[in-house]
Amino acid sequence: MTTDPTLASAPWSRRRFLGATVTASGLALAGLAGCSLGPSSSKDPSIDTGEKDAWGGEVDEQGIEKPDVTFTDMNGEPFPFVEKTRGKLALLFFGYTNCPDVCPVTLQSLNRALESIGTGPGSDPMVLFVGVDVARDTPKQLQTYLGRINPTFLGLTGDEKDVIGEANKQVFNPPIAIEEPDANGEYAVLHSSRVLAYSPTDNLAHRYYPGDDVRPQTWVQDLPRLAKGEYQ
Amino acid sequence: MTPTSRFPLVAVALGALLLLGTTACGSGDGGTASAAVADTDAGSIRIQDATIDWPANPSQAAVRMVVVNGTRTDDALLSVSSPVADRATIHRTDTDDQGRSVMTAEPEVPVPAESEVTFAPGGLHVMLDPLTADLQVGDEVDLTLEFEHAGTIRAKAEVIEPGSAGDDTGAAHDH
Repeated sequence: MTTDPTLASAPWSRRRFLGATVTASGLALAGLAGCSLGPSSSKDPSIDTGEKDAWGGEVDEQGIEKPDVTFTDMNGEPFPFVEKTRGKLALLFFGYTNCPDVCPVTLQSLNRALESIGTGPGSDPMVLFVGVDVARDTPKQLQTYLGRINPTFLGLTGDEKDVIGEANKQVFNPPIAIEEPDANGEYAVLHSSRVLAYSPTDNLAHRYYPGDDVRPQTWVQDLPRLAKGEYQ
Repeated sequence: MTPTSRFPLVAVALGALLLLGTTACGSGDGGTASAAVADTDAGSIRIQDATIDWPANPSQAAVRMVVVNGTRTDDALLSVSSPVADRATIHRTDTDDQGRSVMTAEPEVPVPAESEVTFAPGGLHVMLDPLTADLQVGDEVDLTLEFEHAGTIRAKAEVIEPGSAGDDTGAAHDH
């Protein structure tokens, strides 16, 4: 199917715009999106490679530092974050394995993008998923979860306060909140859905992405440039 | 993928409504009449494009779908159940004022007359948790949906390659 590039790009720009302005109005926007009543557009399921100059996510000129903590990896080994990721394109994302929506959508989007990129720059970023729900996100659970998405993705865990809480405080403003279980033992976990992209050249995150708002195409366009240390 | 077919289907449904003529108009005030209508007919509640991403967490999965209310009666989805899970909960994902993802249970989802509600990533989904079956891509999962007026509607959700619905339904958000 042939897709008019201008038509194909329209929802994309708007999507990023919405992502950029999600603050107090985020709830209202999300509510409207959920109740969208209009007809769907025609879409090409293949990944569109148009809009080559555009960037996804948001830029941070100054750059976000890396969390200066030692996580535990999926084999139970220490993972000093700064040292292990130095000089590499590293994508850091906080989530939890019992999250049915944002977390798998974000990780699957990245996985599909990597399949599409194949080889060359941007094809092998370190994808680091921090399981914030430490009671359930054990190294073994992370291994199962990420193994079913992409076995090269790395799961990280650690002490709830000293490692995960501290890392979260260093890179995200809002605290992680784990609510009380309900009668079924289910509980809500509130976490930032941002993906931070750490540069291989200066080891700072100059660009971050609003989690599940990022489609594979955005990663396909951005990762090869991020791998070269570019961010705008 | 499948959502691309939605608009033509809606068009077909509208055409069918016109063909039905007086029948369709006559049912405008009767919420109870729709309970017996088959789910492929115009003037009914229909579930379209129901999919489940093959889950990363083997004990939990999310159903995405489009609920089309072809009737002239405002309705509401009250609950969902499935033989593959002990519980099925309607959730909405929001972003709070601090940029955090929040998932809240929805006691009911209004589906106004002659409109549709899309369950898509970042918005609504039906969480199946805990799963009692080992889902595989290609499986068809039975769903039973209870509506305030239409009563019980049965549908099937296909287990699909993960991520493949995100593109489609995400774009549908924007229109």
